[in-house]
Amino acid sequence: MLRLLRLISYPQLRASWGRSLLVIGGIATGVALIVAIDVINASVLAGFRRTIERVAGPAQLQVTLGIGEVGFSEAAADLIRTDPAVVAAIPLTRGTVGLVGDPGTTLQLFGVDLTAEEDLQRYTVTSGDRREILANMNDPSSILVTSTFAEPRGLDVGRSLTLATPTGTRPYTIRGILEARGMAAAFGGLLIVMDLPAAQRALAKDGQIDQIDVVLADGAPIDAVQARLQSRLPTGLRVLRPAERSAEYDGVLGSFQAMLTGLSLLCLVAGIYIVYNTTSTAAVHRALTMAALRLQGAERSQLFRLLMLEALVLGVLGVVAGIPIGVLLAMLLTGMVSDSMSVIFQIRFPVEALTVRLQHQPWIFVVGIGATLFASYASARRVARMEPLAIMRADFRAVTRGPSARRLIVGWIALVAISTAALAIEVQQRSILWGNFGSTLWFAASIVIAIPLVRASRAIFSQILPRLFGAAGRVAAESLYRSPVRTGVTAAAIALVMTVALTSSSLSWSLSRNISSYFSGGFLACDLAVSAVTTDGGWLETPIPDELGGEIGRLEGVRSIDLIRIFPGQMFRGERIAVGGGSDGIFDPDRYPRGWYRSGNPETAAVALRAGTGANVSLSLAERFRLAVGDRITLDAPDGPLSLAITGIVPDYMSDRGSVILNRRLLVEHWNDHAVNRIHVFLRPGAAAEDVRARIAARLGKDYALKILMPGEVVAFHAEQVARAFVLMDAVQLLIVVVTVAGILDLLLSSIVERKRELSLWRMIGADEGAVRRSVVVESGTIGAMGGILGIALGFVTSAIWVGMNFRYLLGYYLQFYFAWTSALRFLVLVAAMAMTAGYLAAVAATRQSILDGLRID
Amino acid sequence: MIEYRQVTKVFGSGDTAVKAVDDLSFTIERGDFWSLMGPSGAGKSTVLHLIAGLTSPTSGAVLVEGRDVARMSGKEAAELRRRRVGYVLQAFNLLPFLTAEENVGMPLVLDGVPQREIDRRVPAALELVKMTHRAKHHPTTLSGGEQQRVAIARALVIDPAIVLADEPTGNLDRANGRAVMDLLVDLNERLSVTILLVTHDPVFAAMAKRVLHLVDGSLEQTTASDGDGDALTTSGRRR
Ligand SMILES: Nc1ncnc2c1ncn2[C@@H]1O[C@H](COP(=O)(O)OP(=O)(O)OP(=O)(O)O)[C@@H](O)[C@H]1O
Ligand SMILES: [Mg+2]
Repeated sequence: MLRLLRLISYPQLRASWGRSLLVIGGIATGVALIVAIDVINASVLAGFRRTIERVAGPAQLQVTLGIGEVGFSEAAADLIRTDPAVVAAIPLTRGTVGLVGDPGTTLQLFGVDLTAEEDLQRYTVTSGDRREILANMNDPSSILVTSTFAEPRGLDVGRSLTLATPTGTRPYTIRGILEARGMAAAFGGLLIVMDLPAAQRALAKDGQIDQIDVVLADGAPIDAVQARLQSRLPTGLRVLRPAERSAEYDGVLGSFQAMLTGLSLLCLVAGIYIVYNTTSTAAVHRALTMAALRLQGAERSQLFRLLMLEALVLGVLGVVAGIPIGVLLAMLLTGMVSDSMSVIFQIRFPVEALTVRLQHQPWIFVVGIGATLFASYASARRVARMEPLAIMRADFRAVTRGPSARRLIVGWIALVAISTAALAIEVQQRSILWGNFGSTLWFAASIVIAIPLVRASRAIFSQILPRLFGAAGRVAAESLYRSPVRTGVTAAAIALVMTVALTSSSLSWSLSRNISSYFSGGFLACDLAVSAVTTDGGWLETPIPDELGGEIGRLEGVRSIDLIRIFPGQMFRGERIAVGGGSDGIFDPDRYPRGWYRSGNPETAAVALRAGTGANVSLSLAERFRLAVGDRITLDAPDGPLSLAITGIVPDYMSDRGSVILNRRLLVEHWNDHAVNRIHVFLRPGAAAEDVRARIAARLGKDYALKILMPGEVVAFHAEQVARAFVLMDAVQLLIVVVTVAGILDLLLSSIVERKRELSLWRMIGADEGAVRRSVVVESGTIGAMGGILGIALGFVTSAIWVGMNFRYLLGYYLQFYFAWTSALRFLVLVAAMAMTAGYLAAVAATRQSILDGLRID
Repeated sequence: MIEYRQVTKVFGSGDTAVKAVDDLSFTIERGDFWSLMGPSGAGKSTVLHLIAGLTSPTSGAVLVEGRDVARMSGKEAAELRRRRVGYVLQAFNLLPFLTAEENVGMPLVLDGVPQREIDRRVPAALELVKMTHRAKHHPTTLSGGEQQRVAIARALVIDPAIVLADEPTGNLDRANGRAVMDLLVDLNERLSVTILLVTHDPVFAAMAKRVLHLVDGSLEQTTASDGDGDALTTSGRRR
């Protein structure tokens, strides 16, 4: 068998190296994407965990509210210190600040109790006297910066730095440089340390902290102390080991990562398809060889084994190439993915190094090889079963004859049934796994149906083409339907690309449209939106003090303002949800378009919301936790459980897991939070938005780093954020397109090679080169059109499934579906142009050789 | 050795049915050398195909070495071609990407013969057809006659009991054709290989011990020959 591999396979595979590369490339692409997503997922998680652990330092326990993204009263620290096993309880407050003069850079501001920190020694100061620094830090304008931050900027002790904090832009003095170790190495060194009271003031978080790090006495039983502290602290506050805290995020980020895995599975399906196509066309070309071998006494099973062995070798090459390419891709794409994740989760994901989960690689290897063998099986079996005589007579139909239409339709129905069942289970169980399985199968099903559809289209095209293009059209039509399998397979390949492209563009289009429905004409409509320039990496701007609202409200031309505050990381029944607080205007029933309230009455809801006794919940939250209007929802506020009546169920995209919308006053009262994220401004009749914008900038621009946007700019800003969240999808899409286009070219070219002889004959009886070319271009253009139309149809259904179901259960966003029609038309034109170009290239190849040479080919 | 028992082979059905072979019976003994003549479409190639088990008769039986070819499994038929029957086609005999010697060794490779033995048998076969000097050449660099000789070497390398040759001289000039024919005659005389040759050339046909004339799938006449091109006896078609 190995000799056959060397004598038969090796020279043939080498001679048609393009096709062999395509097989290897198809598998390598699928494998590379799986590896890349796996590496990216692992790296993002590992980076996140490392940050949490670094910030924890030597503390054995941490006390947080929820998972630590919402502040609470610093009084809890005193309570903890009374425990005999506790050596130190060190409070910490956190926020994001901007660097004035460098809008691209944001820094994490840590407010710490420096005296208490002495016990912990989490920071190492490299310059200056420790005691002197401590004394100086009492001054509220003192800061410490990391060496990683200071060195490239030429900063040193004594220099001044102007920061844009939530309470305004202010100069600070560098009192010391922190060695880039431990905590100071987190966030890539973009970290500023202040004394706790100063930081609380700068962040508008008086008396509030985000976390308490607890150091225990040597030998103290951690479990027992953990339980003891937990029982003494108010409900809502949680005592966790740092590792436990980071483990909680595994679940929070899990669904997004699972969606990425689903995406990489689609790439594998595309890879399998490419291998299937390529081996099928190769089979035609190699039929003569295989027939000759049969004449010399080769057995069917021998040839079958040979072809499968070949597939194995190519598969191994593909996987071996795919794994490093995947790691390389991960290097390129990790930044993109962590950026997308920060848009979705409103958390920063610093990734310093790639984490390759070695234990996953053998599985990926097996999956890749399995996929190659699976994809090659059909053509290997067909080649081995061919009648040598049929081939010697150059009857290629025997080779290209695929499964019968009936079998394909039955197969399609089976695939659709299984995928529907899987999707139904997805909905029932909210299962990501079933969703991935179902949508991958649906994708595969769309390929299977293409061939019968092409067969069915015969009646139409064999009428139209001759009428439009005369003899060339007739030859084209005849050739199209002589081997409906090849035509169908090519059209399916095109449809596949279109489906992927349309699904991803419909997803982002739907998200854009859904979000912009808030801002244009919806309840978040306004004349101007004022916010901080900085964000925490996502779309949500860092907080600003609510007093700014009052100041803006007093400006000339301003009729009224709305205040909006969002907590993106509130925990609710084990899920990380968002809580949004609005001022009274937000609840005005007139602002909600008809049907916005999926449940509940806007009028009565407004009364309860304004009174602070009710809350609206997002569709996703209602469905996830089976909540209905009239139920009560209980939130863990820092001062204890806060119970509210549910007054309405509305669409909302603040968080993937769902959100609660309530009166901002409740956030002030129960969360002790006085900041806002956005101030929406309404103008008096006749006031010009530009003038008011200038007035706001003049009044506040000196003290605060503010962003003042017009309605169109707000929508554009959010559209940009959506694009950021989907940039990876686009990258994957591009990859599939490139590989599949190569496959389509191969199919078109090889169909011409098969027909060289008859095209030569056609020329011999008088067709000129132009006519031959025209007919080939008409043929491939028709295939392109078929694929394009099929692609739009399949793309419509597939994207509806993704937007309406997968996206909902994978990621948690409840979207209304909008099909990306403009993209669809653009892709259609693109596909037609591409197919015709490929056809033209093939036609040139077909007419280049002399007629007699063409005739002699057998 | 080869026995045709009332063999009929029909292609297609109804109006378009073609009787490629029509109630044909004959027996070729071991060591015989027959040639088969007839107009195009007479069914000559089909007669050979049936012997090699490439297709099966519509009725009747084809026996090779006493065994009904149609009853053989695909595996057995393949083994027959690999070990007992050497087949030489009119053209496209050789795999273009292999050298002459690799082409010749291919049936042995398929049969799992150890490489050492292949290395011994291939040069011998090439020597028989006087192609040793071209062993490393690819088919495209060989003349038509040389290609045909390599193809014959490949048929011989298996030590066949039977050689089926379908117009092996069809593409060759007279001198080259003559060389191929001499080779076949020599094989038949020295090694007692049973040979069935299809040819359009009466001179070459007459070099066989017996000439069959096939018309519309039936035997028109058979001519006994002395092997030197002179007819000895002629028997008319029996109805
Ligand atoms: N697979 C097939 N299907 C249909 N008809 C066939 C098939 N094979 C052969 N025939 C028909 O059977 C008849 C005999 O064919 P065959 O190839 O045996 O002729 P031949 O005597 O070898 O002719 P030539 O001298 O031209 O090679 C012809 O009429 C041919 O058209
Ligand atoms: Mg013939």
